[in-house]
Amino acid sequence: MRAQGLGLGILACVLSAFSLAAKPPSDVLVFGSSVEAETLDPHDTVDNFAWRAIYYCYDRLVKFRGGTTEIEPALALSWEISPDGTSYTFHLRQGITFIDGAPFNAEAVAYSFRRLIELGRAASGTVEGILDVSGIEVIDEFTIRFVLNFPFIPFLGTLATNQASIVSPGVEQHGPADHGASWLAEHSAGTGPFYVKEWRRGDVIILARNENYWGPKPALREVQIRYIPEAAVLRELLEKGEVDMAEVLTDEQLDALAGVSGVTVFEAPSFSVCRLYLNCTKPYLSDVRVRQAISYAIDYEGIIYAVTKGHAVQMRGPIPQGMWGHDPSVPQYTRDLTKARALLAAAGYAKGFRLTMLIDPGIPAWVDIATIVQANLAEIGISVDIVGYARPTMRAMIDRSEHEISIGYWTPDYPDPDMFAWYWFYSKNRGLGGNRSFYTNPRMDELAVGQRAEPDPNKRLEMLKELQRIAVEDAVYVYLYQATYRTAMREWVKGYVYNPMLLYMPNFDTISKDYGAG
Amino acid sequence: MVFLNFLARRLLFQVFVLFGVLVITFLISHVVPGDPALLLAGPRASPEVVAKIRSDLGLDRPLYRQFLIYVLGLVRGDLGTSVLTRRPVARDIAERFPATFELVTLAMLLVAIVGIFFGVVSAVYKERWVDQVTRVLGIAGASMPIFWLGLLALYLFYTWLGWVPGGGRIASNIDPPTRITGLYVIDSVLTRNWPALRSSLEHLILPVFVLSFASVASILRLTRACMLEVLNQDYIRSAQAKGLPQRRIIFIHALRNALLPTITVLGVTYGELLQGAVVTETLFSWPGMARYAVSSMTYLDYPAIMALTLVSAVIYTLINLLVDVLYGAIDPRVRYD
Repeated sequence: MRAQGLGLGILACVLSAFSLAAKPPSDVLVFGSSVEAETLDPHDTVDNFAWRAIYYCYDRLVKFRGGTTEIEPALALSWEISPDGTSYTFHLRQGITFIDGAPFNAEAVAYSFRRLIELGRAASGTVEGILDVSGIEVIDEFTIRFVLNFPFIPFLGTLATNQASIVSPGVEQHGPADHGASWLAEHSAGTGPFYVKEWRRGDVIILARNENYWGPKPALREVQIRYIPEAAVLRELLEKGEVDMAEVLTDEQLDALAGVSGVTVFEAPSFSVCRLYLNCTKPYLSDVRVRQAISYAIDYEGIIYAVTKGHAVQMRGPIPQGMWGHDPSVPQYTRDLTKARALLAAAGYAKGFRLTMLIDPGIPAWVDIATIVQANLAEIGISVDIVGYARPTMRAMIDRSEHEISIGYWTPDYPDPDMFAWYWFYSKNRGLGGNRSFYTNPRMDELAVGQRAEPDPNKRLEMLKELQRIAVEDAVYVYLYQATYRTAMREWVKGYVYNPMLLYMPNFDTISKDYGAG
Repeated sequence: MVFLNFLARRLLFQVFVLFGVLVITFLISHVVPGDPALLLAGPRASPEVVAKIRSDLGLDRPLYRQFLIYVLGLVRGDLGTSVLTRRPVARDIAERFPATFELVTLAMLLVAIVGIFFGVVSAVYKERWVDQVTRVLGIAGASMPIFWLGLLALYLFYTWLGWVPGGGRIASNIDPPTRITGLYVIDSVLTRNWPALRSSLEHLILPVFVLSFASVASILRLTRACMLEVLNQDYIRSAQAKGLPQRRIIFIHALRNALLPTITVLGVTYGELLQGAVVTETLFSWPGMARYAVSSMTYLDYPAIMALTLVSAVIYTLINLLVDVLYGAIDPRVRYD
């Protein structure tokens, strides 16, 4: 065995003569990710890790301005919205071609939205019931009109998101039966600053610069999105400078990286929230006083500290802070066991009862939260049994209302309070649709549906305020926390802009690298 | 002729075994509660989208019809389309299998060569320092979890010493060799792509070492035990009395007899290495099948689960067949009937 050790040693010495761990060239960005994309079709997936690879391979009619959620022109130069808010007319940029050579025009826009709707995948959720194929009108070669089924106020914002990517009609030739879906699952066909050059599964997605891009030319010639499944290894690679940016790392790793010279840990509030579902159709939980008692019994600060090491803030009502429509005056539950016990007693359950909490034990944070919730509720006499199921089963059970308490994250797809107000409280969305507490309240239905069609911002704000007040009063969910977004990169990465709507999607189009900067 | 007959019968029997595996896997994966359509439909799945996806995937049909459709597809060589990657499963596997095969086969070679050689050495030098050292390593190998060993090895050889790369199959600034077999080492030799060969070998060293460590230890201890038993037998003493060279006695007379149990265990070892590859591939960002297997289980990606089970079953039965054939080659008393 010593001989083997010696052999290895010699081999290692020989190897050390080679130049390993070479820094990538300054126009190649290596992005390390512990999560791999599944498919690259923008009209299929709603997975941010897939969007990261393709967001800059496509353009959309409009885009977010810098790090804000405001909308500015992109493929559309200008637009008009009809006074009743149902008709949107876009005037398109001319002289642009797709990466496959097809010309960009109104037909291509119409094709993209038809494709999104007809594929009927997860991504179609944002236009479902709002825009039908019959509502897409090509006015002339560079003018297109969308006629909505009702005045949907957040519509413009949805057009800046990945689902609204404009795809070349050329993909049709790769399989008309599925609109070229199996081809587009691993290629790109957009007008964006990059295109998918190669995808080595389980290894790397290579984006190359679109040399004919119509807009400002990116500084990066190539972006390599490397899949590094083990976060501890990813952190090592970042420390050594073999990857320039890294996601997703644990809070412990990010805290450790914050002290490493040459590495920056970026931190900003996000719209990503965590809530507990309290199934309103179940015994005990159907009583609003029980739900309020639970909301008073939870140790919010303890959970935030245990799960995020303090990198989160407690939610105040359902709409996250920083989003238009958030009401800072809405009451916030804090831990108050006296109140909680009194409410339970008033409901006739002074002696307590048993509940189950459904989680996916594969997510360590959920295990931690469930354990704390269990301990918190035990103090007011509610004993909680934690039941763990793998994700597909857990989702199926929630959809069928088989849970009592459960948990989930929620990140908005478009920058509008509608993502919370309508999805979480409208009774038709009961189940996986978003209303996972199976809550029904006719007044809330009116507000949830009414606010998304109300063109007057002041009136809409009033409706949202009432909705938030009822949502907290009725304790439909336990509003746990709004997470802080954290990511780590080398200091030589310049020009990073964080946009809360583009989580995990750094601005590859305007980032550059400067090794002189350390 | 007898041998070919034996081979034909075994291969025919294999088809039945594989069909059994197919039925069981299909039943288990479909009886588990949960629905891949609900996952595919995204975080805010509306019932309409879920229903559309379910019918696109054929999940709304009765179970026996789904199975029939699957088997008919299989006969035509169609393994189905992955729920998760939306691509033909056959392509997903063809892309990932060579990586796993390369890793596991090299680890297997290391296990066989190092394990047997040092097993023999420590039996011959029983209770001497070689034997003591291998004993310690044997215990270490049997008790150290791959995950821990892997992280330790990475820390030592990558982070600290910087001798080996931190994962992946090839350096990010080197293009993989032109694909012929999908095995980087072989392809780069065939295309005389020396930089690619060097880089892929560098990337293989640590994962192969980590993956094989536990199995090297167990094969080593087993070979040692068998050798000790054989070395005490009369015919060895006769050989020594006749004055045969020691090397010939050990490697020709003794080892051949001691090898049968080791060969049996080596067959099982390939399966163990495939299992160990899940952790190894994760640690070393190795783009193989094991990671794909984990995600297909998590998402109940039926076609992928079925195909992966089938591939593993084929490998496993082939290895067993190889073991049986090797028995005959090593021990002339074994007859193919």
